[in-house]
Amino acid sequence: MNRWPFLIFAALTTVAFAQEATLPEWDESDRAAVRKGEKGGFFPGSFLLTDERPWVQADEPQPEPLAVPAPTPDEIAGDLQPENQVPESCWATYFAQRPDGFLVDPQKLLKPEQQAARLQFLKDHAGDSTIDFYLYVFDGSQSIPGEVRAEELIERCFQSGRPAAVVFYFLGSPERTELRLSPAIADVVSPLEQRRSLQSSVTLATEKSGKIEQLEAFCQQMSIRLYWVERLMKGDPENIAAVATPIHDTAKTQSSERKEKLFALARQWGPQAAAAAGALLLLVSLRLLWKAKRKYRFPEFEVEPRLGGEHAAGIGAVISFASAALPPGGQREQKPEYLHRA
Amino acid sequence: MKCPRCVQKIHRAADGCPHCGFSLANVKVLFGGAEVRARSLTDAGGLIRLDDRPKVEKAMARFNRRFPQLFVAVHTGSFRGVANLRQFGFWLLNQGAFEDVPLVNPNEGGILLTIDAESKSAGITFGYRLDAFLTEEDTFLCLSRAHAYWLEGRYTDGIVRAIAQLEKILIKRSRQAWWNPKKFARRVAKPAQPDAGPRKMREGHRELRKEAKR
Repeated sequence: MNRWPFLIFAALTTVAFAQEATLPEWDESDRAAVRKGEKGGFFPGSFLLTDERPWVQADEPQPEPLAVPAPTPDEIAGDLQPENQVPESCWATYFAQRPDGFLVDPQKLLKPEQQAARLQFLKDHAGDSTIDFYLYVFDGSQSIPGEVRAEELIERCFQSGRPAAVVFYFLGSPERTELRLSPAIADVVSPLEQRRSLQSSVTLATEKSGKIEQLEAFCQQMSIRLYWVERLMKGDPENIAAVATPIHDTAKTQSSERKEKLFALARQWGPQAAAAAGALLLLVSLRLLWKAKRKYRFPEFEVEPRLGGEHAAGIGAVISFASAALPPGGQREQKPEYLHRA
Repeated sequence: MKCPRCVQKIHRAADGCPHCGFSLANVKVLFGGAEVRARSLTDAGGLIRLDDRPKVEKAMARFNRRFPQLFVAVHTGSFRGVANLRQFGFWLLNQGAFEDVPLVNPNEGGILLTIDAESKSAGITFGYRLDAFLTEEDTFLCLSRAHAYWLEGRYTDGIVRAIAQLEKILIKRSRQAWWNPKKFARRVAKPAQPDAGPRKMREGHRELRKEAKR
């Protein structure tokens, strides 16, 4: 069906109506009369015809703007500073020189017994490892002053002496922890590996709920990672692979624990199980050998000869394989030949 | 126990078949009265290829090693009919002397597998030593196992398969006999005489009187 005539007709009709529907225009005299209220009085929407709001009185007093003093430079600087910074009195202890002990907590954020436990742990680690583990403890909400650059601190304080791993730990916020390695180690261990070590320790710490438990978990895992870093420094490729293990996550940690348990079980029971399996295999082999070599005997009975046969008269079955149409099942009943012919 | 000619059941110690009168004398007329020398593997029917003979010999040797009181023999030939196949087996085990079988193994412990190349049938005959341990059903099972091979003309494989099945059955029977020999002894016990019961009673009474007199 041809649609073009209808379409053309519709287009023309639309154009014609569009030309006819023009908007009305105001006569200036009418507009002036309406504004003055002389014509027609009030009618809805009349305020749209005016240029000014009809209810605003020109003589109404305008409120004066408030006199607010501009912020001083000190105030602007104060806004930029974090609210909870490490107290300036502790800066020297934290950042001035290489600390005497492995635990740096001038703010006494840890209780004495907790401090003693951590310090003992760090000392034990130092005894077992060639890499010292320096733990700087800050509050979870605190931030390190902007003047302190960790890289500069490491270069200045840990350039010489035993290799060290410096950890800025924020109590209750293990995810904010920072790890810096002394130059001797940092040259060997790639930043990626460093990050992995840190993330692995942080992951384990975040699995704990208490602040101190988090710190303990962190220290333990970091100590383990530092052990592998130490092995890596010795250049053992096997250990390099061990260090390069993927970052811990909870599932993987659980699976590795499971594996370790299995390995432990295997180590514990492996030899016995192997011995039992070997013995079983040996027994089975011997039994098979014995069966193959075994001789079978029958009791001998006195049998009356029959049909005149001196030695044998045991007539067994006869089977025909002349045709596939006659399976053995159909030949079970043995019949004399003359019956077959019949 | 059946007659090799009419395949009717016969008495344990029948001198001749009560149905058709068959005895060894009849079969001697058919196949000869003189004793014959044979080898345990005789392929007169030409069914076993020369290359395959060791396979069969190996299976036979294995059987003979496992059952020191027994031996297995295989004979192929043309016997002109199923009835003759049974009779030939009966005749050969009674008249034949197997040269390669040790003298300590008389034909009583022989199991003869005969295959008729002409009628394409096979049968098993066995000596008195196996009367208690081997039944017709057992031999049928052995032949059934070989049937598929023989149908395809694979005679060697069929023979080996039949011997293997025979081994399996006899191992089972040997174990059963070791545990319960009486069960098998009963199968071949001498048949009771018709007047044995009253005579025993009479003799028993006599014995009791003698004891009373003493």
